[in-house]
Amino acid sequence: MLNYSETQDDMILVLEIAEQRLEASNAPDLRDLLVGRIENGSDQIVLDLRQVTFMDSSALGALIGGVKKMRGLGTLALSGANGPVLQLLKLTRMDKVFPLYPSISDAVAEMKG
Amino acid sequence: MNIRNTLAVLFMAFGLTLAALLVPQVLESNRTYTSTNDQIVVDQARNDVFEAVLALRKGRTALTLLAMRGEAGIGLRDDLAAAVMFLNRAAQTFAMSENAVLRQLSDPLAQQADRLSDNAVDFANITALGDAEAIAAALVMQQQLFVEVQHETLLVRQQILQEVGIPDTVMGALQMMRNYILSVSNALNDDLVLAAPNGPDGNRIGLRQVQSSVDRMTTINQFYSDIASAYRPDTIMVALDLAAYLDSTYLPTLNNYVAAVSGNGNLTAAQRDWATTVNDADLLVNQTTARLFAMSQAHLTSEREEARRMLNMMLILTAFVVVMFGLSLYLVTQHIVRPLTYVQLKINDIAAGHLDPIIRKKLLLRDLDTVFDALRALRISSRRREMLTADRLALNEHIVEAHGILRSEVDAAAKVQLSLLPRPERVGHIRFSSLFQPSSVVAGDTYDFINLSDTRVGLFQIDVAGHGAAAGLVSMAAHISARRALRGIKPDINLAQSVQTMNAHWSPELTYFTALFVEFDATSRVARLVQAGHPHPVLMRKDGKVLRIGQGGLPIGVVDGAVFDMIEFDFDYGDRLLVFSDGIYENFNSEGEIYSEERLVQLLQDNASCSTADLVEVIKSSVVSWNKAGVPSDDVSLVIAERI
Repeated sequence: MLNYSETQDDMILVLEIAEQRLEASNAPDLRDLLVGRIENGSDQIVLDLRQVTFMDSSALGALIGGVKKMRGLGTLALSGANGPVLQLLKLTRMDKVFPLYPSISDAVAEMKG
Repeated sequence: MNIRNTLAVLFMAFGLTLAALLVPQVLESNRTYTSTNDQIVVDQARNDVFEAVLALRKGRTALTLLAMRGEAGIGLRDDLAAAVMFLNRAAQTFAMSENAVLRQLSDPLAQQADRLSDNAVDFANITALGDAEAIAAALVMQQQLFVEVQHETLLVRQQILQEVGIPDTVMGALQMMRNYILSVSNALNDDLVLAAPNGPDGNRIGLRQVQSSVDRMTTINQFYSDIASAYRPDTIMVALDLAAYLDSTYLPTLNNYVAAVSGNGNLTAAQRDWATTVNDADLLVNQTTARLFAMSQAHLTSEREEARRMLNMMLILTAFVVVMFGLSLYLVTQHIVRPLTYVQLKINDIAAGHLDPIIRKKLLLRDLDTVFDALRALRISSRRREMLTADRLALNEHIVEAHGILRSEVDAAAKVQLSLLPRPERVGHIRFSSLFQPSSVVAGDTYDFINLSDTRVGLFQIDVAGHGAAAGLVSMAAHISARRALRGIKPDINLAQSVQTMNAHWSPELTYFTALFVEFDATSRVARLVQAGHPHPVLMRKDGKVLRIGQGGLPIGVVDGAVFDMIEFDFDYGDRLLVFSDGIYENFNSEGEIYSEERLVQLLQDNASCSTADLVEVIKSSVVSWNKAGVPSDDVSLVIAERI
């Protein structure tokens, strides 16, 4: 069970995660969500992590699974990452894998640009 | 109260009600039949008694005339014989009656008959002797006897009436007719005596009495004619001939005769005419009596037939009701109560788990067929459920067995994994201590430290995302790759390059993992570090200074051609390097509060002066006690390398 909201802004799909923790218990749902949307043809995705305060390696694995599914044919961007989440992303150099933006609007503006 | 008892009570009540309704009806019909049967016999006796009375009256008249004229009465002998015969026959009939009162009438009648017979013999003897005086005396006595016998017989007739009564209106009318005949007969006989010439009291007195007798007969005739016209004319019709004859012929002729005696008209002719009418009237009286008897017999016979028909009908009805009652009883017990009892029994059986086949008999009622169908469906579903339960139990057994096998396989894998982990020991110039606490049997974490050359020692730690068998197997594969990477360091291939090769060769089919590689060099008193997504290690200087080192890096298996950075730092005597996976600080307590890196660093700063062994204990107790259940949510692994 993963709580999130979904909005389509032009070609860009925005998935706003409404969970405080992304961990082993909901990581498979996150992976399924991302893989499902990509298989349905979404190639411009912004995943907003503003509300997430903790993310473990399983959730990171789900994000990596999403990127691998995209195979460089599209963009999976992260926005709003902060605190421990941002630390984890930096520790694991995920800025090299995902474009990181401070907010959804920044991400959308950049991706439309 | 169950169905069986309720139906038993209902049927008993129903049966008793039917019996209470039918039995009196049958008995009543039977009684009517028997009583009409009796009435027929009684009527015969009655008629005999009546005929006897008429015969006696005529006999008396004959005797009177004999006494008056001295000539033998022509009809006397016949009248006497008739009276005796009728009396005897009536006596015989009564003797056979079942009614005690009627039976008692038999003897008196027989006695009267005997008296008449005996007297007739005496009288014949006296007459044969020819003594005129004796004959006259005998005549008087015989007259007296006839009067007495007639009186007694009439008394018997009265008793019969009292005992038997009049059964219906038709018989009532016929009884009245007989009384009428009796009256007419009396009047005729009186006329014969009174109007006879040379009578004992002389013609004048006789004529006066005849006149009054005529008046009386007229009155009687009128009376019964009125009744005849108003009341049951069909029955009284039989007497009308007599009445009409008396009215139209007898009375005028008698009047003529009376007038002739007074000197008006031809006396001889009038007397002859009257004598003829007396004979005719007497003949009519006899005929009417016979017709009345025939009528009463016919009426009673038809009544008896009616009673018999009614009795038969009641018997048939009773038989029908009994058969219907028996049939309903049979139907209800055999085709309702018994099947229902059986169904009840079977349901109890099914509830108790006895699923014997259901025996189905031929049933008359379709509703019960449905009940039996439902019962069968119930049994089949119970049977199916039983089989399902058996299947489930068998499946459960399989699962337990499979789980046991799986468990032993996982245990075997865990043993292999544990065998990969080195014991705390000194390798070259480095002493290694460790803390390892998997969160499940097989861990996603692993580590190793190996001697690379005389002066160099290698260390790596790996954390495969997740834990359990899958993560454990990947971690073992990663372990082997990491050992190869450390051994792959050559003069022209540094640690970072070796890790790059490892990353490039890591199968995309396998999960990514984080890792930390360290190469300790005794000669230059430095250490080189490659951080692949793993937490920053903690460097504790000999002087107690605690710092985090490393600049982060991509995990292994995320990006194909990833480039890894290598940092070099001083690592001299007494320095300690703490390498750990995120499980050590990503541990949540029951309030959902994370242990955190900050808390760990603080703990290390607070205990910087501790020996390595004590430090391991401090960390262990702090981390483990954070989670009250004592089971960390992720693998906890820590390796401390100390330069000695």
